[in-house]
Amino acid sequence: MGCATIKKRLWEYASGKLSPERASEVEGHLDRCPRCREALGQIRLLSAASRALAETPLKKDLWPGIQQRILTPAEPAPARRRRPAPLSGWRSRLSWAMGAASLLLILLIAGHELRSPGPQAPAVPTQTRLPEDARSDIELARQHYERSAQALETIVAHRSQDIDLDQALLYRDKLQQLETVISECSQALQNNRYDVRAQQTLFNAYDQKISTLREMAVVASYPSP
Amino acid sequence: MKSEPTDQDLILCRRCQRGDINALEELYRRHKDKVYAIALRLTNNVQDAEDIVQDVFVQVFRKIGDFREEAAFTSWLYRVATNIALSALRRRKRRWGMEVGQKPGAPEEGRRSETGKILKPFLEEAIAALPPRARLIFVLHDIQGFQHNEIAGMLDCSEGTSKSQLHKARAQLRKNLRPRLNMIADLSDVMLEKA
Repeated sequence: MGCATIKKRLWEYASGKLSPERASEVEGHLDRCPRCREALGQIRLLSAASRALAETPLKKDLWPGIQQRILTPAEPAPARRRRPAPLSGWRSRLSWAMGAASLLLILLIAGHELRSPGPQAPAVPTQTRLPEDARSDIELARQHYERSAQALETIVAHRSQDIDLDQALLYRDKLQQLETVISECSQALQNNRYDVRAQQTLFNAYDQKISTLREMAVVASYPSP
Repeated sequence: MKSEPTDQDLILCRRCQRGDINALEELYRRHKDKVYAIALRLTNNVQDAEDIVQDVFVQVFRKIGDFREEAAFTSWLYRVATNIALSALRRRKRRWGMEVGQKPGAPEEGRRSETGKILKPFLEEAIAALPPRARLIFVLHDIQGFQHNEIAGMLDCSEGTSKSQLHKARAQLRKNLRPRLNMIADLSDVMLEKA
């Protein structure tokens, strides 16, 4: 067996991974070949040095930093903007026309919203806060949600007779389901205040509850003939 | 309905999936050293390796829903760790025109043997000079002791690729370190004769 074949097996031989038959073949060659013995010596030194590198305990406690990063809401990454391809001819004119139409639509909607103010959604905290503040932020957001929901419930209660009975029953079922979710998530957060999923589910449920109540208020204001 | 797991990592993973940050802390305490060792050997820089450890455990918490329990948690964890470390290497190369670890300031850690002690700084330097993929496979196989099939699973490559990259890395290391290795071998002979 030649040096080239033996050299391919030297790493496995040095780490004791060769079968006894293969190992004795390698040993037979090593007895006769000083170059392969030298190569084996180098490989053994490298293996020992490599194993020594594995012993690298982490000296610093990185957990506080990890915890802070998880509990602090991440700021949204700025979206990448691509330079739009230049438009020409009718495409350019169409683009301007669509832009103008969009602007007009936005102004119409804004005007309508200003004329009929509804309950305000809670302000979403945008500033990065320390984890100690997180709990009070969550409580504050919950209070906002509750106040908005109560205001809408009052409106709906005054106009409930204007909603179709079948539709009213559907709304009632949906609201009951959402109440159950809100109650379960609140309980989960009492047990573990860092339960991120419970927080997300809770605020989703609040969002849906407010949307449903708004929808009910609108349906009551404009009953179908 | 999932069956009750007996493996401690799996129990902690399921708690993590329910948003329990205390379970993540336990996972961190159990696996931080190995994740750090991989990151340190890939980057050859303590600060970069610490940043990678932080990124890995933040990512684990955010992506724990992707862990499917088909393989061991550690395989998934080291896969996340190697991906993040490789991204860090690429980012650094793009930004500064050099890779992480090609700067001075190699770490000081415990050493196993006398030969390892003498060779260690040279070996660290030679590992840092390997191409990223070959370096990663050398670190995982020869330093951390993973098998080729485990590495293939972690890196989404075939066992053959893992073997060929390891062969390439070892050959290059031996070539680059040959003068040092010969010198140390001679030194060992002299020490043995004196003893």
